[in-house]
Amino acid sequence: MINNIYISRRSAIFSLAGSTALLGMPAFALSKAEAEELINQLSNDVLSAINAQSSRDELFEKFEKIFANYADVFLIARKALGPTWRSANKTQRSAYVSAFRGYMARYYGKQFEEFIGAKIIIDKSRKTSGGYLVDSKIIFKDGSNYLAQWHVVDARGKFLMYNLFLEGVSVLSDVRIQIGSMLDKRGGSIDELTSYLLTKG
Amino acid sequence: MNFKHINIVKISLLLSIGLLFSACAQNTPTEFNDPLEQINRKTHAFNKTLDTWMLRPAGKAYGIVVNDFADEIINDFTDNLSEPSNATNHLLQGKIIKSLKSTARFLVNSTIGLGGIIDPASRLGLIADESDFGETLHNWGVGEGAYIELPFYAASTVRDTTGIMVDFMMDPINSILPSKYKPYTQGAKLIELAGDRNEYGDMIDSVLYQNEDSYASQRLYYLQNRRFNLNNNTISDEDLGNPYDDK
Repeated sequence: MINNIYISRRSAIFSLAGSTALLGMPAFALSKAEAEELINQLSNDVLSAINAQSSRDELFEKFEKIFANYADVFLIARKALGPTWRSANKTQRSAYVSAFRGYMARYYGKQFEEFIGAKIIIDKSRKTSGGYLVDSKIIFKDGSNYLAQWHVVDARGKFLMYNLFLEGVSVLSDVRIQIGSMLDKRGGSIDELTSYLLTKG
Repeated sequence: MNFKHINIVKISLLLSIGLLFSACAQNTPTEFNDPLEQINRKTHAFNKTLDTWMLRPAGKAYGIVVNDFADEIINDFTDNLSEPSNATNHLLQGKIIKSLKSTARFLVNSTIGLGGIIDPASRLGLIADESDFGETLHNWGVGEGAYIELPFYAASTVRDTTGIMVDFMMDPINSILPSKYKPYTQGAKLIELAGDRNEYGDMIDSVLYQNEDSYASQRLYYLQNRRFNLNNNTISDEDLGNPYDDK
């Protein structure tokens, strides 16, 4: 009798595991494709923005829209600020994040400007904790190329870009250095940082 | 190649490395391992001044004086001089085929390539594959150790600085080339330095001069890029970071 219960329980567990595996498999495959598709669209938008001959201000405006669509700007802003985030109040946080949106568009925009005339080819991706790392190759007009890897995270059921690595160097870490240094120079005041961010870039 | 020479260096190194790195071994940094930051920042300020007043103008002058054709000759010539060292380091890492390729490159370019001023080896499919003793140490399992900014030389680590010194001391080119040519090879390397400053001009300018904290950014670029290259273009979990931790 006891044996029977065990068997049925075990088979129940097995069948449960089986069905989640079945359910999980297509979702996993789809996610990987989704992550790559996100970067494909993002890089297409980035390339068409820089190749359209618009003024710098127009370009940065476009980038702000692109990031609003494809990037987890809120999470990036929070990470860039570091531990100061925790001590800030709600009003300070939302003022900082909205100033950061423009700063990020200008900061990444300047990095992306070098990609004029380049091609971005999605290569492969691998799973990381909470998302994917999508590898792409940036091929310049002169034939030289380098590796850009996009860290994509699952943000509340939707894939968004979180970080970009250029030849192994984390752009988010660099933004964090910039923000950290600005904050230090202003005695750790997030309000002063926020008003500086609005002008910086 | 002078293998006896290499063996002596290797043995004395193994002894000294043990001493050098025992202090750093247990240090697994969350950010970067930089206990010398205060001194490093002073060196950085010095290097930046040096760049502003000497290297940057030299790079600009190089860009004006040297045309693309001459630039390639200088590049190929200095690259060829480093092939014996590349071959040695590949060999020390147990990469026999890479070592033979570097040796073949050196032989082809030194002869058919007219002493290295052109690079026919590449056209024969022997593509350059550089290495250094810092990479060899990495392959032997030596960790990077503390970050160091070297005067006149910029970003490095304890391991890579050891590598630079060993590469300098054991460079087989010194036993291959008669010493009377040394002033020419050293001169070419100095000119090449200005050439590199010119080639990577915009990038270096943006790191050094358009940055809130050029020291910290340079440290980031060097360490993450070096780790990436040494680990077959793989980003470590540590450098990938966790998007959801509260740091």
